[in-house]
Amino acid sequence: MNTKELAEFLASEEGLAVARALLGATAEPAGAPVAARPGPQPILEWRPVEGEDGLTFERPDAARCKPRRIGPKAPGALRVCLIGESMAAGFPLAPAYTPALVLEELLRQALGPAVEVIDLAMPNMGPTEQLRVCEAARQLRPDVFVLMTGNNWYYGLTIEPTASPEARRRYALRLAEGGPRSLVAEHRRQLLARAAVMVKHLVAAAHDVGARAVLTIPAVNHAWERRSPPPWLGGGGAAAWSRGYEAARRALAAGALEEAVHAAAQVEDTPLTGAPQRVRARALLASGDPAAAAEAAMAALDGTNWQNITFALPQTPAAVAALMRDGAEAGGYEAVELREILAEAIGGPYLDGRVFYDHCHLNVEGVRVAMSAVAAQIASPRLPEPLGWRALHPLAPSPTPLVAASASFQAAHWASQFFPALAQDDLGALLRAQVREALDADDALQPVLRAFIRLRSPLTSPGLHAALPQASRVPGVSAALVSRRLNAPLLGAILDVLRERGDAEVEDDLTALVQGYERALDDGIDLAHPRHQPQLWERTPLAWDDPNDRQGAPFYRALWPDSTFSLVCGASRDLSVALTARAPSPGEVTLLVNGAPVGALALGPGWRTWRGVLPQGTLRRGLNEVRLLWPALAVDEDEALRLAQRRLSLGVDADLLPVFGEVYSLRVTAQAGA
Amino acid sequence: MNIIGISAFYHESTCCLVRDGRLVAGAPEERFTRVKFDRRAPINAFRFCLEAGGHLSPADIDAVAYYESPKKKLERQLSMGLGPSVDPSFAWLDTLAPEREIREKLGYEGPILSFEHHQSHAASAFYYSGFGEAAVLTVDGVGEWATTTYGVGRGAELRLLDEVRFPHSLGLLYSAITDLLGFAVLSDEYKVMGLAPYGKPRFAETLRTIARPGPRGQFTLDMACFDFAQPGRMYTDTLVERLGVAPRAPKGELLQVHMDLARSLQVVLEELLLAKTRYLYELAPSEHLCLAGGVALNCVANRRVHTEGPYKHIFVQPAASDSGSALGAAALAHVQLTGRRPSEGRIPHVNLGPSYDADRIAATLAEANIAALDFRGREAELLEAVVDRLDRQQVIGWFHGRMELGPRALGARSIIADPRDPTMRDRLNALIKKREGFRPFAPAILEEQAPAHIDIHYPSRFMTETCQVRSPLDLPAITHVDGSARPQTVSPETAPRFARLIAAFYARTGCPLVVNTSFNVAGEPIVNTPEDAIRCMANSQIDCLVLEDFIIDKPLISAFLRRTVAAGDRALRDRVEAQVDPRLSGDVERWRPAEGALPKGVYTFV
Repeated sequence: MNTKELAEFLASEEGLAVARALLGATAEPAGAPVAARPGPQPILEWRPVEGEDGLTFERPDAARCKPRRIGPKAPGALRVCLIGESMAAGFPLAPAYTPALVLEELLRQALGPAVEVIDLAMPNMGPTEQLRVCEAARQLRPDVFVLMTGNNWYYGLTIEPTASPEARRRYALRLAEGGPRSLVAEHRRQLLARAAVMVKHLVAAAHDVGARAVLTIPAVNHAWERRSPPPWLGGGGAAAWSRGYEAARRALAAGALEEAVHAAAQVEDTPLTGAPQRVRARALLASGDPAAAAEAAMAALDGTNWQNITFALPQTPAAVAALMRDGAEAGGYEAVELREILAEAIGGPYLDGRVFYDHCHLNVEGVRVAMSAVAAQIASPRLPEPLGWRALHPLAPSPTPLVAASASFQAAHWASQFFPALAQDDLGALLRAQVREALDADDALQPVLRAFIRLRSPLTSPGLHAALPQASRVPGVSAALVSRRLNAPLLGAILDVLRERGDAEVEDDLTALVQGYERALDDGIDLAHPRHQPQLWERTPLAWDDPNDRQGAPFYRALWPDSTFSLVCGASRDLSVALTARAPSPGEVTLLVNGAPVGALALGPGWRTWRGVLPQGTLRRGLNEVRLLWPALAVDEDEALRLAQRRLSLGVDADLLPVFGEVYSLRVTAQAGA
Repeated sequence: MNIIGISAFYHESTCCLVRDGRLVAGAPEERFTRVKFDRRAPINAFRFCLEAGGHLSPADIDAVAYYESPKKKLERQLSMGLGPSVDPSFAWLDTLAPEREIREKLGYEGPILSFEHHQSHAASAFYYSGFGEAAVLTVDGVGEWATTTYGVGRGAELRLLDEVRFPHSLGLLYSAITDLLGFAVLSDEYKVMGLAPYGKPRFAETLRTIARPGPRGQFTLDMACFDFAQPGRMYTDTLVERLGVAPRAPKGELLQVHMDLARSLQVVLEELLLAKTRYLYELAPSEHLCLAGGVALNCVANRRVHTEGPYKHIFVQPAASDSGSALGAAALAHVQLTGRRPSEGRIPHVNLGPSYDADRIAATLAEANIAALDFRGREAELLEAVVDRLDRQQVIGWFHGRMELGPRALGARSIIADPRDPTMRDRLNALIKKREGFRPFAPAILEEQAPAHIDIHYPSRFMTETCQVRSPLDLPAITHVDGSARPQTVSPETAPRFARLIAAFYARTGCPLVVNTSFNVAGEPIVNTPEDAIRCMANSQIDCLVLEDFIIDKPLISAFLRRTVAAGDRALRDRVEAQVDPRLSGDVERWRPAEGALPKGVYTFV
């Protein structure tokens, strides 16, 4: 076969599939971690410096939680290295207030001043980096390694559809063997294998320098709701799942708790999405059984993170936590199980916003409790009598009110940015609570919240807006302020809370925002642009493309039977609307404004455009909800699954999730007939 | 009939819209994403073209014309023996990817017509040249197999008569030496061209033995000197040995030897290009020559072809590189679907991108609390105010009308300055553009005044040729070391406000030209939006920004804004760096970014 014939063959699907299979067969196995070079090694940002003091480590700048220089250990001092992910790094309280700072203070209270806690935690740190940091940290000759890790261990497992073509092909093979459930099982198998390796190597690094290894097993916020749709299951399984799930949700909404528990249990889910388990957890909690609710919430974790799409979240599933806990004796390490400690602290097993900001990050009280437990664990062998965490807890420092306020606001932004449609049934309530918490902590947040409103302008990017300078002086809030998204859920929550607190000036901010939108409406606004989608991450693969950009989300795809978009306007005139959409199966999409139907478009597989009017009478000054109700899915699931599998076998990414419809544009304009 | 032309997935993805044979919109994706040479699916550019066409939907598009044949390209790639070291994921094997991306990322559902790479180049030159008949020469690195094609166009018909095939390529020769000189391939070739006048052609003889002309328009590269399949380096040790020039490290010191090699390369390129045009003339005798392909961006060579070649009139596609192939592909599709030539006249300008109206800019300035002088409805006063500043040796960011397509700023997104100032070139290079000091700047000159100042007596509106400066004025800022310049002749018909501005400057100073360079800093795409322009101003030493009818003097941009912009840019840089952080990719064993994607890959939340 000459190159022309070969190219001809490879340019077909069959040819590409053959090529992928051959390349997969010859692919080199995953390599071992790169061996460290001889000599002193850097530790995160700290570079080794050999001087008169011996080996020291220096970083280019100092941070509140991280010294510029780490010198040799003082004689007789206790040196602790704290290694971990974002939870250990203290997001979103860092850098002013971190677990390492709290731990150091508590240990000094318990053991005296000769204590040093070196903060080697870093947000986003994955397993390989954790191993590297741990190995490099041996150079510091610590007495104790606190390993506050586990949430990110799922990073880079080879069972991913959105990684390399070869990984996709393997995913396809697994899919062909046993359907989506076998992917979940494989993910779980790989994660447990990864966890075993991590525990072994992290602990070995500590033992290598004669240090104690204190493994802090992360806890999970049981109240952090996820709502993941099912993948294609074949044989009508996804449709049955949806029916069962909706039945469970309806029952829960109606207060029929027993029925909700039963209906959720009937959904053929476990382990798949975890969403029905979430309904079950809420129903059990409402029934007064927090222990069963917590177990249901943990069971939901087993069905997550395998698709590597938006629903993946850093959390430690129960099986991984058990592996960490059960291996302590044989592994010669000490385990501090945060779930138990936090449950003790709040007086019940169902962990929630009392100790967490979000899915895994501890709030101030969570940090205080957790680090009291870790400090007690470290200090006890050095004291005549063992300490309990409760003894140290009152001594744990608190952050300044401004830091606490900033963290609550960041948490609200975080929640609104990533998980609107997926996270909470009533996201608004969660966000309002977090905004209130921020203001309660320090009313210096008020100008930040007001600036947030003005900075949503469609005319000017926040980085150039005059409202930014003063507001951004509050530490930690910049990311929220400079986001280009309208972010209707958080905007609505801020408006609600400021109004309920009688802030009259908030109306000025809203007026400024409305005026900006009215000006932009003269040219037209595409509500389907990522900036205006409240359900932003619904369809964005979990790659860090700019979510405000079309490159991150070329067009809107609906994973649920209804979709909502946000519109700000003055409600002073009729607006024209042009919806260009398509659906996999013929049917009618209905468009509603603030609950009132304003039109319908017959849809099919090709793009169609409907032009109509949003009557002034249906509009409100300020935020409006534009909602689409999609036609019911009438798709052959087996065929859809086969197509997805075929694409993956070619090394191409594929949708495993049903899509009810897609929106190319939803253009609203003040111009008549546009 | 609406036809979308696309060139994408290799270098500087671009989209254009040809409606009923008329080119109505076009822009590269990089201007929207702010990622230089963005090669991803041109999602934003496609949507812009549909909007510019009158709020079209994908269903309103009759055809998408794609600029090359992935299957034929694969043949060549297979013959090169590309291995895992070039691309461990072998993404290039997937010839179905372009169509899939067009359908799935752009949302286009209709027919897709593919044309060969050099056919698209040829069409991009001929169909927009305004010549009824012409010879057509395309020269670039490589398309499918061809690296050079010889063609002829007449009316709606365009035929390629002969070709030079890979690996013998003038474009790749130029890129390989660019690489050896420590500059970036597919990006910095024009720097080598700018460096050449500082050198002596003492390596020309050696290069002539490495790139040898052959009969019938052919030429051969000595492939002992090149390896186009190895990653990260286009040349071999043999080339280093033959030339006796050690590879220069990127951003290393520029020595005379580097300048001499650049000059030698330029000389040999020009010789070979002239030989090609003479061969083409044998095949296609005509008064007219059309040029396209990346090598046609070499404006020095274009000048020699024009003055020493057999053709009286030449037209160089302003977006001569792959970006402009989108225009060619769209034209070819129009011919295929209608049997008619897409446009009769010469493309008058390349202002095919977005524009922003003054009222909207006013609203943005108000929100940003930027004090600006408002000249709405008072253009003459605006221009006088700009001339005041130019005459005070200020550097002006000039933002007016629709953004240009192609690599040159031609008075829509330009930085302009007084060409008489002897310090201006160094100032512009160091403080404004933040680039190498040797690089020259181009003049924009009133068309009717051009013959009195430069030796060019015909319109040259796209900066596609150099010429000698013959001005009675001293023009150090736009005169290169060899006395040359790359002019844009400015006509009131095609760039009315820009022409009026230069006329006002002329009336005030007696100098009918200004320095005209692209409105960006090194490493950044040309600005697109008013906000890009403000940001660019805040990040550089531009003294004054003219945003349509508004003038913003640097002191009116607050120190805070400057700091904010700088901090924002730093944050962006940090983010990009974080995305390509080897710790993260190392973390994810066997992980590779999705093919076609630019920086991405943090498969994590906090």
